[in-house]
Amino acid sequence: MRRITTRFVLLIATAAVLPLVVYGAVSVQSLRRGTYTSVLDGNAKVAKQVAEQVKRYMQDNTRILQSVGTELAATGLTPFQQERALKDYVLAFREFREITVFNAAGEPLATSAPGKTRLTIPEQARKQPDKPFIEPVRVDDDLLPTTTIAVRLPNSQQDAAWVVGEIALEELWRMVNHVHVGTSGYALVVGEDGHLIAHGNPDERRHIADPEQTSAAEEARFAADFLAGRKISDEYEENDVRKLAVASALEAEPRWLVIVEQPKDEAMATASQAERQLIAIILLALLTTIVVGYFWGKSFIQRIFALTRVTRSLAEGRMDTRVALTGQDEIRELGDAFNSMADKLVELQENIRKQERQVMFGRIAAGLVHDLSHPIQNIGNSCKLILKMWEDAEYRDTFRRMVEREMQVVKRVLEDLQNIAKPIPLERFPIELNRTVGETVESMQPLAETAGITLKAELSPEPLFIEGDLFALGRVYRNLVVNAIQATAPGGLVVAAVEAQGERVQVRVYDTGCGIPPDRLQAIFEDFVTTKRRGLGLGLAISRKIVEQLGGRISVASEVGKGTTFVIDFARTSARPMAQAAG
Amino acid sequence: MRIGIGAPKGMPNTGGPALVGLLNSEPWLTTKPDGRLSDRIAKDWQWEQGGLALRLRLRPNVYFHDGTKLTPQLAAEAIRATDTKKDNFSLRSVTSVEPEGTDAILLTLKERNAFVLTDLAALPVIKPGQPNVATGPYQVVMRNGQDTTLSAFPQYYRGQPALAGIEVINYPTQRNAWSALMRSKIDMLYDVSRDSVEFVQAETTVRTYTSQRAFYILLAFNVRHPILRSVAVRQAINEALDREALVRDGLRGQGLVADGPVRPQHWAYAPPEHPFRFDPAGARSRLDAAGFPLKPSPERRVPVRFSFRCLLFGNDPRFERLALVAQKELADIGIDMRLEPVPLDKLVPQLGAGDFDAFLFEMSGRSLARVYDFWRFSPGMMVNSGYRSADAVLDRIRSAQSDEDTRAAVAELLRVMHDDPPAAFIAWQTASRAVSARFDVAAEPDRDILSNLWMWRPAGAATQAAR
Repeated sequence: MRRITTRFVLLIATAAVLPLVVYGAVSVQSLRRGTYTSVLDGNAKVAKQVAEQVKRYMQDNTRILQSVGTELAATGLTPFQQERALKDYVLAFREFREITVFNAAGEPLATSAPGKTRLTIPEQARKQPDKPFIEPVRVDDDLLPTTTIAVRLPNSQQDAAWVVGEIALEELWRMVNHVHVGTSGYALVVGEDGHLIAHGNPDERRHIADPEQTSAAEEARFAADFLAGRKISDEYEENDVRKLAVASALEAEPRWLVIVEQPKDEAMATASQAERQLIAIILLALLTTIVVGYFWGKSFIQRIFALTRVTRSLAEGRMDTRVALTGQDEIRELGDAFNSMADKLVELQENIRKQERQVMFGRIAAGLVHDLSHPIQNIGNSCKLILKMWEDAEYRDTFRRMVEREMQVVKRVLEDLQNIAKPIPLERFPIELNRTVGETVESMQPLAETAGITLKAELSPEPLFIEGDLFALGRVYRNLVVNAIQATAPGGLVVAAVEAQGERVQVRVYDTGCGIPPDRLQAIFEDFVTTKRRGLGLGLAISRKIVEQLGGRISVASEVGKGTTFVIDFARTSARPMAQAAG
Repeated sequence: MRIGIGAPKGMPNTGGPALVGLLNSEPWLTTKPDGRLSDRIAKDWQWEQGGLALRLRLRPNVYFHDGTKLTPQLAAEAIRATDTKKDNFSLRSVTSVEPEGTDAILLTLKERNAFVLTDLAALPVIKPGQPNVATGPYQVVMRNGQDTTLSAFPQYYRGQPALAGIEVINYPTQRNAWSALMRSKIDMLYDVSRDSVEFVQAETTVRTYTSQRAFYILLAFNVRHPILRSVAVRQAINEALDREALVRDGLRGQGLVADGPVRPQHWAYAPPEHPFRFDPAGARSRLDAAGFPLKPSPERRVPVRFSFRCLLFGNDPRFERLALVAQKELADIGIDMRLEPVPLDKLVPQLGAGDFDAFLFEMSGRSLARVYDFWRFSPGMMVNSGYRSADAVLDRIRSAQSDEDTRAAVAELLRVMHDDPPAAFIAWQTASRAVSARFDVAAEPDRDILSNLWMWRPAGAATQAAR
């Protein structure tokens, strides 16, 4: 039952859920890919925006210096005025730590510093005087990123040739600090040499001051790959966190790189959540399908099981069993058909029983007529004679004996009829089989001689004892021998053999007679079954009954044209008959 | 715990020795944030004989680092050995220090001097003849150049410190010290520059603690200067300075406007009746009236009233921007303040010699005694500015016998310094210190966290102990 239900459930589940699973897997894959691309694109946009802001920021600072220089160069201010102006700039633009104006020889002309200037014209700036030079960013003693910008003043009419400013890039840090991607995504700025300049994560910012910056190695590596055109995005692990990174380069000097990195788990959170939801939905669908399929299948199968049960009941003989199926489908039709079939079967069975009863009744009647007509006729004839020979005392005695004898026959026939329906009263005593069988064979010799058949006994060399009823077993042996004689043609052989088979003993009665057809062999021990033309057919039935009541078994084997063998076996007993035991 | 100190060039030992002293030794008394005195090694005190005798009762269970118990005899000896040439000047009033009984010492004074207790609150208790042996929570176990290693003193009378040892490590720059903190080479940064406090505060691996320092920044005048000796000029300078802007732009907002040398938190302080307000127009008028009009300057092409030199510590960027702001504000009313950065080793002698017009620096306002020591004229004083107008009121403060007397004298001091300003008092500074989050700091309101470093413990240790 379960197998069918399980298969049914599996079938429904597979049919319903498998496509869903496949679809879900494809969707999840697409979603992850899409989310990944979308995250990288979004972060790339952020990086580009930040890069633009940083570029503008640096350009603004550079322009300020340029305007300072231009103002000082073009207006012919005294050194005092120039210094005042520089100091005003430094105070107005607080990122400027110091601004100094130099002549072409590199001598300071005016400075915003209280005393002597700390600045010089960077050598590298002299090599590229046509554009502002920005020195590599460093962290100053105030723990802030600092750089120096040098601007060559074009066409200066006075000595002023260079303006150099030292800038604390706090605003750069503030700018980067404000960039948040999700909750744990940050932007950072990396210099051309891969050195970290700014980091939006306050806990990572410390690496800027670390000269070796070993902790920013991944960012530096990605930066190098990006600048070399090998990568536009990257994944790396840092502090046990897997991160996605994209970059954008400043489109002008300085050639810094803005990297936006975000923990991959956070970036893919949407996809992961959708994935989880999809898995949950699929599992829910699967569970629902299983439950629905189980109950629906069960209700579907139940009707088939009901049908099966009823069929079995019918097979077991409970002909009044019917099935009541609900529904309007084919199963219901099957149930109705079954019920019709059962009704028909009962009807047929009843008809067959009637016929069998009639046949049996006919047989019984015929058997009774056969078995009883002779003694009754003998008694009738004798009664007629007694009227005439009443005076003859000898005849009267003969009449009495004949009547008694024929009445015994009638009584026996009636007893057989009676015994077939109920247990035969038997007594159990230890009996010796050789003796029983031998006596039977000896008593049947006249019949055998009359039939022209050889009848012999094959007894066991040792005495064999069983628990049995002497008279009942004698009847059984006689019945088997008579049947064998009757079934054997003259010149044939009938043998009654006794032999031990371990803890059991067997009595075999076999003949070389005509044999019994196989179709009759099965029912040979049934009541009112006979191969003879006449008779009630109770002999073997009663024989089997006697053997089985005594705890034995009887069986038959036969071959048409060859002969028949009846085998009776009993359990041996260690008990001995009283006379023998006393002896 | 490792404490890193970044000392600007020229000031290699600033902070470090003071910190070591704070850990290694304890004063006789302590000063609360409001300037009131509290017990420390001396558990209580009593003035007697009309203020000419001071009895100190000592704690019974105080030991020196070498295991010697502090007795009245040793205590008296330690006070007697105090050097009063450069500081602790009030102790010059003490004529004798004698042990009394088993737990007291008696100081006899030749004159009333209220600063004796204040100086005792700054004076470390050192075993006579053994400058490294004191009574503080930590004892010096090794000095390696400028670095010092201390270990917890088990017999410290307030309980053995939770931190077993402390290393004070000097770095050539603050950046080096900060970098060391972030690389976990040290656990505490002694001083976070005001420009970077906001960034350090954002970090989650360190905690930043800010407190008011008892140091004020001033632009002090040499009143012997031919121009600056004019009261009107000094008043005009005070009026020309926008202190709010100086704090905002010069100190990044990390300071409180000052109106005198007495801390606003001090118990004796009261806001002056007529503080200097930013009034450049008033300053101009005053200068005009005082005979200092704007005069054309062919050299500068910008008219100025007068010029003077202002010295400032050359290697300390903390004052550069402040100086520039002040310079601009004075320039706006026609005063040319020429800034002259000077290394510290040259600055101090110049100040002592009176070889300056003005100087911009910071001074201690921790106690009225410090105020007195700095501003009360005396030969050989640290800054020979020639200012004597406040001598009388400072003496009143010193000899005050009651809180009311002190308050009245302090109020008078502020008024005198307003009417005849020896300086332009600019701001009280704020200090920020950064400590690794691996440590639980026993922070108290309005107090420097270093004052109770002996109570710090590794983070989570308190919870473990509570379990």
